[in-house]
Amino acid sequence: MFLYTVRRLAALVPIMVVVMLITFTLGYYGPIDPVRAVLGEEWEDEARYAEVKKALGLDRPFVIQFLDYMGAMFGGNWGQSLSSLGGVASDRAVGEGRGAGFSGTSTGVREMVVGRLGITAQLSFWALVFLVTFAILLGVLAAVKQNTAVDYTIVTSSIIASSIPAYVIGPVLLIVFVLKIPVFKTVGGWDGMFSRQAILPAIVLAFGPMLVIVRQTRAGIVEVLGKDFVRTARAKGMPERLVVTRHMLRTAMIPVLTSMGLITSGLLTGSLFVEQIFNIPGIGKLAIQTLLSGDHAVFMGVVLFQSLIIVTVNLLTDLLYGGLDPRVTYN
Amino acid sequence: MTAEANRQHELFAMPEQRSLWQDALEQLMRNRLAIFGVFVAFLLVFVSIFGPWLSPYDYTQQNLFRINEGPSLDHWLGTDGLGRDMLTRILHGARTAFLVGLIVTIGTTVLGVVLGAAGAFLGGWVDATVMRMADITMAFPDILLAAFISVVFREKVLELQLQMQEQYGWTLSESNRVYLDYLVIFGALTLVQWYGKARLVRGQILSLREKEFIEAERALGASNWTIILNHLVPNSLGPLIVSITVGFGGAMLSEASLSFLGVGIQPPGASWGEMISDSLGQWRFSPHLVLMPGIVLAIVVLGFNFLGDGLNDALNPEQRRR
Repeated sequence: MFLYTVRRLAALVPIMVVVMLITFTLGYYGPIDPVRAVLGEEWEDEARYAEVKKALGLDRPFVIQFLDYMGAMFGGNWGQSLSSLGGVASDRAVGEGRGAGFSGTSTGVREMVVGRLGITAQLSFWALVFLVTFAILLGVLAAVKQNTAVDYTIVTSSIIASSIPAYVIGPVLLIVFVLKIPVFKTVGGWDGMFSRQAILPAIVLAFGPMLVIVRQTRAGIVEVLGKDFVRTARAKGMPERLVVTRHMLRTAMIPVLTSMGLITSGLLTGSLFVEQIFNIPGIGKLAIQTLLSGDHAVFMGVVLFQSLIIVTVNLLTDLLYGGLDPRVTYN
Repeated sequence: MTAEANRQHELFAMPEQRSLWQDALEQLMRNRLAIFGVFVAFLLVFVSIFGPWLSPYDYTQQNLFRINEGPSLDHWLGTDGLGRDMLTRILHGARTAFLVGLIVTIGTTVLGVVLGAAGAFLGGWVDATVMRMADITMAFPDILLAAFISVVFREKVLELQLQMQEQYGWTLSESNRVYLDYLVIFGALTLVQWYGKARLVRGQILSLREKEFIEAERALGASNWTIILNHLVPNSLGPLIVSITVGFGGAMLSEASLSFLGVGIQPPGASWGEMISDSLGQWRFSPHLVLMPGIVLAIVVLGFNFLGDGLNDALNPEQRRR
């Protein structure tokens, strides 16, 4: 197990290096010339152009620049935001009116990404709370009422809930719960984890990974419904509620945990749209903002960070699977 | 022939031969949600072909005296912030969605089948390369990668087109450059979504190759091509068809997502995602502008998902999910 873990961790390094190479190449050939962005009007002055280009280290060969970038990334320095270099690119930020105000003071890419990450993490936390409460409950209900109208309704409505993208569900919920039945008065923006503003976005975010959890819980419970240990538990007079929670759910949660990767990528993708709709200054908003304004260093930071999350979660899932199911061995 | 022999013949007669496809079709017809999906798919094809002739307006035609109107006799679904007819734009959005779905699906299927089959048959370093490429693509947040590719390449494609126009006078349209957006989206989505089908095809071939009936064929002296054409292709077709259907819906959804984020189809091109983000600022005042493209997008995506589920139940009975 230990050797396996080490081997898997080692395999992550080349993958992350290639991911970095692809991201860097896209940024390198991207439409924004950092020198021009920094210089603004002045860029036509050739001497000045060459000077800034040299100062930014952009006159070096591609390979050297990439190795330098990679070394810095592994060393924890993710580069500088273009706006910090006195560029005009930041002025071009799309949706200024909505986006202004939370551009923050830090200009290092890592500080920017980590700073915004907290908000996305809080949002995802609430989404997970909704998911764990409702999706697992629905999954259990569907399994216990297997092949009845209740089961079909639950499964079909989960398919519907998860198929419809966040940028359709979000506006619909806004129109229903703000315009038609005014439950929420202020929406949009971020005012901490425990404000009312966080409720609607978290619910929208929870819709995406809903189907995975309902389906896996249902499948897990259906699998153990007729098993001997369940019959034994019933035979010794255990209340049905406890049979489900103590015996069935514990076994049935393994397939749910193994779809952690899907759930994580669902939350990451969802947060792109939810943060856009509700104007929440999380990591997804940061990505779109910097992509549109041409601040590629920051965007690349977000992409690499999300890639790291994805590969780590996938690795954890595999390891956890072995830890939870004693029948699985790695050699 | 005696009566006795006849009776015997009837007794031991083979039951009526039914192919997998007949069974699957029957199973699919019994699934109401899948029928809904078939209906949605046909409607989408129809509208994307004949859309422009169904409406008296052009999808870029503005009327600044009649902006943000509600549904009326002139404009059945109202008008948007620039006074363009909503219905026309939604119809044209169907064309965008269908075109992206079609081209990206063809692209990912060709890439996936070729790479997956090459990996499975050639093995060794070819297989290793294909699988590492899939691992690397999977490691990316897919929407962000597609967004990055499309932003980077839009500029390049535009430059190329301008140069071609200067040198050879070659251009599709002087004023409307939406077709360049299409090209960029096709490329970006194909590059991000090919790996699912490659892994599927590779897995199918590898697992089928070990089956006893293939071994039996080989023992009977069948050539490689006979095995491929008579056994591998028909047996992997079912899962591939399901993956194609689901991928079709997925590609349309991705296009809408990219356009919603502002990196897909650019105005004045019509895309449901772009229409939603375009009107999102006015959700308090004209909610119908946000709702209509949203509802259409939701129905189409659901239709393809239901169709994919139905096909999966019909074609792959051994891995039915419920």
